[in-house]
Amino acid sequence: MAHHKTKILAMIGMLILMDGCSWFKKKGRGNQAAPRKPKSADIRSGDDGEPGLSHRANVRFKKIFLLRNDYARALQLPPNQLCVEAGKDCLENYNIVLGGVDANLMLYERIEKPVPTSPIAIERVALQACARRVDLDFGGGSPLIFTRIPASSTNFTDAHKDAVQRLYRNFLQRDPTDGDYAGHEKLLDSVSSMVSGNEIGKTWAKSACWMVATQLESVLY
Amino acid sequence: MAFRLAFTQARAAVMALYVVALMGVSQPALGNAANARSLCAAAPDAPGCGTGQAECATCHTGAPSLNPYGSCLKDAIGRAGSVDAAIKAVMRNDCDGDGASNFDEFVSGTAPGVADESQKSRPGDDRSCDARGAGSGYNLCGYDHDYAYKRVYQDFCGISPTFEAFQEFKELPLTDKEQRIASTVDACMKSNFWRGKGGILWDMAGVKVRPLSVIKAGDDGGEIPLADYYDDYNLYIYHHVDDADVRGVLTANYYVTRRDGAETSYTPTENVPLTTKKAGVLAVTGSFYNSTQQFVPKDKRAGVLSTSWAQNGLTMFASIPRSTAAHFYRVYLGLDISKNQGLVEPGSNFRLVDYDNKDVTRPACAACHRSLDALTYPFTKYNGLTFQILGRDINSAGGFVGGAVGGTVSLPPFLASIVQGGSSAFGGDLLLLGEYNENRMKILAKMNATTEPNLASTPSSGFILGRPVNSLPEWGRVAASSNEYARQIVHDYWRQLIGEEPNAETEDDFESLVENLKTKHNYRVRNLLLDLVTRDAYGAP
Repeated sequence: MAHHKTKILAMIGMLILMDGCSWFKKKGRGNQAAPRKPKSADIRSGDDGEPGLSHRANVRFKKIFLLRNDYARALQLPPNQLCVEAGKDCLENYNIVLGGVDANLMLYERIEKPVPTSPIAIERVALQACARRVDLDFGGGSPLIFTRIPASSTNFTDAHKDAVQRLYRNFLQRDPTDGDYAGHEKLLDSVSSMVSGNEIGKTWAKSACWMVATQLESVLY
Repeated sequence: MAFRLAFTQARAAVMALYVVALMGVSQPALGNAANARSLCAAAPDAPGCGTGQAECATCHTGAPSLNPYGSCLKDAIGRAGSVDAAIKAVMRNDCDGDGASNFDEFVSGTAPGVADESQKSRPGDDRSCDARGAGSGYNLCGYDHDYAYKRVYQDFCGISPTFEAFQEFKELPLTDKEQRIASTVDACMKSNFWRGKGGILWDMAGVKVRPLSVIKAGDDGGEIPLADYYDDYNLYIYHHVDDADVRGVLTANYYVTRRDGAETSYTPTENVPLTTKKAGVLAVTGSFYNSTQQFVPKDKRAGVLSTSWAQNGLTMFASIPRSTAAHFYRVYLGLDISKNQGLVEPGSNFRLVDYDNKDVTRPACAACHRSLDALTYPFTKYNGLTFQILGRDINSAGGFVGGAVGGTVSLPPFLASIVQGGSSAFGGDLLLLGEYNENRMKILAKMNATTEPNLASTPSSGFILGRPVNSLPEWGRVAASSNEYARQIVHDYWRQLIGEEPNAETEDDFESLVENLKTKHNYRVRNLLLDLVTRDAYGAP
């Protein structure tokens, strides 16, 4: 029960703290009355500049195969074990909403735009995949992304920074900006206020991973 | 029997819809091909007018309901007296109230009848593209090699480049970047992600093949094996990779086998051996054809137009297989007759005759059937699921198709002995599933003497795109050489790689790719794609 409560608190915290993530901050600086659509140039910008819109802005969402491959390599997990539910690869359950085809259902053409359930599917996969990576990294073996993260520290250490850098390099093929680091530091503050003891490091790691994996820059291209 | 009953019911349902559609025609209809062409004549540069006539959705939310532009136009017709005058009269109006005039929407490729709120809310930004792109890491002024490289990796290889590979690329000189982009495309087009079973091309082929797993024979076969459409996938993919001529999809007089492995390979072959798994009905015809599963003689083959799947899976029981012809017309030439597209008049010498007693000569029906029936006649010697032998229709005599359920063939005893005897024992009235048969229409005429008495006179020559053709291979050659075919190929890859329709800014790129495919690239898809990824439409963020 306590475990579930912690999870729920963490999820709420993540939603609140999305404001700390650079893309969401930028979006807020647009036209307040009518938020504009995210464009590729904005997504990439971080807090370092004030770029304008690309008038082309042909942004596409990553279909299931690309999402699977990118997540698998970013988290160094087998592609069919990112998300396992009832013993099965859960991505298959979301095949259509993630832009797959299914001849058995006579669905031969991919959806070109995400449907309302696409983000839910992406977030679900990302959360499970991140949790698997974190469990492995905190499980006593050789950690690949979250190395030497203090289990209970509330300070944003170099180990936290290194992990953030790995996440950005693996998911987004770029280094994090100062704004990105600041967002993840703020995330640690919030996590620290919601969980305690040895759960802090692990909860932050899952949240940080999920934030990078599900931000638009990661799921659109 | 039950199987055929289901198809009979389905056919009845289609006829019912047809009648409903005809009832709609009794009212004055503005949504017709002529008016759709008028619209394009008034806005010739508008995207979507590449086929010469606007789409139904330009005016309709779903016929007969009108969207705001359709309502606008309808009111204007009442005032102006003619469609042409009304189209011009409302061109500068903003019927959907989204801040962009109808004309501007046509030119920019957006829908004049669907309000796009982003047109209103998009903030103006008068800065130069350099200024707008500053700090973003993107070149907003044109082709961005870094952006294109990453995208090529994602589109052709199915994965983003690693951080290290991307950093290394960004440091390269411009010419090296161009070479690297091309070599990445080339290398990944050889990958299973691109050309293997379940890969990108496989899924693109699926849109054309329209597989139905329950009636698949062979590997991954279903419960009622009628044909092995993997042969059709193989034909399609083979002609879209390496140095193959993409026209071969519609013109090949050979088949293609696939070998799965670390690098999937496709090899042309004269005949495809009969599958050992779930052969279903193919086993019967195959027993007359040296244990193969494609039964059309070499000189009668026309790529995917004449496969067992086209015949058993698409034509099925139809005497005059209009839906088969319309299917290929739609998926390979982009002309959907149900949307009034591609209704090219076959010419004054063509006489529409109601050979199969379907009332196609009624004026309301003839408007489409003059084109459709002329398009279909070359398919009439290619049999589907009608099985006739020595004057007996085996389908209705009992249990043949039903016997194939479960992947095994259970032939009636008298038929089993005939099959064992081989085809040489028979003369005229032998019609096998999925075969080419010169006498097909005559045999069907005998079978269906009461319902389709004029079938025997059905010609096998017809018209496609206004050109006379005497056979299906000729149909395939004319289709494959047409501008429509080249456009559809470019369009398929454009949608795959760019993800949106060509618009006013990218229309020139699109048109030049179509032209290049036919000329400079000599119908090689590989060269087309190497060209496409260099265009601003692909590589300008």
